[in-house]
Amino acid sequence: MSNTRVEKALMRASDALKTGVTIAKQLDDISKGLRPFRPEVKSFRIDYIEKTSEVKYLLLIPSGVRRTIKRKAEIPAISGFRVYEMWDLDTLERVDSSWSSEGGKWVFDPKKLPNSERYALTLKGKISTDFLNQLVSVKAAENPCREKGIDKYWIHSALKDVSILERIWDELNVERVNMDVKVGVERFFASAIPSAVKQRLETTRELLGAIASGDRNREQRLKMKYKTLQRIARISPAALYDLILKLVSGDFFVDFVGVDEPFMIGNIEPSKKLDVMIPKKVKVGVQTNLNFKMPVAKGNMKFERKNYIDSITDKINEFLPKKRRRKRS
Amino acid sequence: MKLISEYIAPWALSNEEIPIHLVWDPSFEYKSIQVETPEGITVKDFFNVDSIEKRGSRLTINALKTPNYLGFLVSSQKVHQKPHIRKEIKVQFISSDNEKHSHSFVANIYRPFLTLIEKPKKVILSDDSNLRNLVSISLKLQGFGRIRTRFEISTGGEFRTRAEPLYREVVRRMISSLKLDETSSEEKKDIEIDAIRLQAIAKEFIGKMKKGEFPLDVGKEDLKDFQRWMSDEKNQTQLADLVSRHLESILIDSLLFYLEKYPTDDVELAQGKPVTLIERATRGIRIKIHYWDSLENEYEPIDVLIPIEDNRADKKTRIEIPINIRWKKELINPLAEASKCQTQELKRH
Repeated sequence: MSNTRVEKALMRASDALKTGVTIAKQLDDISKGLRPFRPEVKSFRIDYIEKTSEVKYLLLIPSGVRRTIKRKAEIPAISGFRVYEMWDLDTLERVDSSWSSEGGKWVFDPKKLPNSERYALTLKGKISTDFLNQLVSVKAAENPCREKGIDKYWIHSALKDVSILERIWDELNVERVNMDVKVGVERFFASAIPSAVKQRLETTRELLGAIASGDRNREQRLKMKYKTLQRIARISPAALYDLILKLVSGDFFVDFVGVDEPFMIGNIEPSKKLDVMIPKKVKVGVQTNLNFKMPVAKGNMKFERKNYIDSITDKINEFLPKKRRRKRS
Repeated sequence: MKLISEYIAPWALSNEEIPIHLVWDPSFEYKSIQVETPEGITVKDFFNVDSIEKRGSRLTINALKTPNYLGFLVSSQKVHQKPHIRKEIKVQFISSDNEKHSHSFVANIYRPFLTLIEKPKKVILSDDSNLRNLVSISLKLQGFGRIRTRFEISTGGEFRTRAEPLYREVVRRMISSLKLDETSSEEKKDIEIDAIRLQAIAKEFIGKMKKGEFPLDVGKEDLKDFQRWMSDEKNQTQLADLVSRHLESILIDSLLFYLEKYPTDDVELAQGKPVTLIERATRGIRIKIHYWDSLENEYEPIDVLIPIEDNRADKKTRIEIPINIRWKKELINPLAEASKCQTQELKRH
């Protein structure tokens, strides 16, 4: 590792720190505002998919404190967090009305509270993709390993830099850390589509070419050929295209993928690129939660390749017009 | 030292980032951690590291942010000659009384390997030759990983890359319909597919043509006329209309292209099945097969030379000959390879 690499790695760490500083500063501002109520962070959750964060505070507000507080407590709204809910933990009732939003601030009036002592306050905020990239690393195998009709992709996720959230690290939970495993499907249709269908497509192409070029003889010849093609191959290109898209959709694909614990399958969708009409890959979202106790997750994603090919071959055959049965005399 | 979790990604290509981690029981005490990487392996990123020092190939971590977890990413940045190489990465925990706890990881780096195993000694072209089966070569794919190939074919002068057949066909048809001046004679086809997607594709085609990216085998005169016509502002609506009228052809071409693009597992022919044009005075075909893995690592191309003897009565006619490829595969299964390595290690102990 060259010196520049070390420097780069350290620079990345310092970038992470900068982004982290903002969150740490936001949390500081909140704590300052809540100081009279001895705020204690009970949990800090980050939702990777939604890009949101949620802090739960436990507040102690005995009636003595309520009486002595002259001013209302304030949290600057620019902190990026908003008050989501407040619960009275003694009576288990919602007491959100003690909070109001006033000109760029969240204002808390403890006098509006009932006679209980313990309260739970939940704040919610948005976080950036940059922050998430600095907080976690997600990696999946580029190419799968094949064994007995199953394609295996290694998957790994890890917390990268948690110092930015050091003070609340014990309570930190990064949920639904997602990575997309790209499963190549390009080859499957090439083998699942019967050669008679390919032949018909080729003839159609030649015929359209002949019509466009005005070669009447060739056009007549190809029209004859077209008529003699097998009935089972009579499928319109648009219908075939739609069928392929259906077979790479998440709804169909989900039955053929699985993951090791602690991962879960998330969203599945074909990866669309403009230069190709038929997707080459299907993105399978694989998710896991990371926290203080387990900052890493490892495992495999499995794609039942053989079953998938058998299944799409069946679907394509079901879709094709059937051969006419000869009547028995 | 009690390990809670350890990991290295079991297989990778060159330039693929390989995650490694160690999580141990928090009661284990140490002063520093040394990470040693062999030549050709670089550490791309560290996780949970607070301070680090570098001396030669040895990195010393003096402080972690949380005491019982270390993670990092490594990669091999060089493309290797061998289909599989093993690189050992050492992690040593050093206690205050200089006692060492070593842990070693093996990075398994693979590559795809393509070789030519058969080609015709000579191709004899006569009037009754079956062009479809005239030229066949055999290629063998070894190692590990999917490949994308691109064939450059030369019949004398410079190498030419074939235009995407789909695009070539569309341009060819558009030019012929323009020449015949039958812009509105062909009936509109009913295509029930994603209209927005088709529009985007049509736009892309127009963009390509405007940039002057034309298929090579369209006649120069036609091309000039077409370009002139196309660059005229008056014709813009008609141009868009022309492309959209050919969408059904695009769709058929795209389906066919797709079907011939993947001749076998793990292989993509980026431009579909390769073909060569035989012109007057063609004495040989030179095929340069370029290939890349899924991370765009490029490997040494394969050069194939096939002499041609043209015995046709009319040598002036240009003909198109497909190049048929037979694929043979002897791929490595990294999982089986890993268990083989383990058995060997057990034997050694």
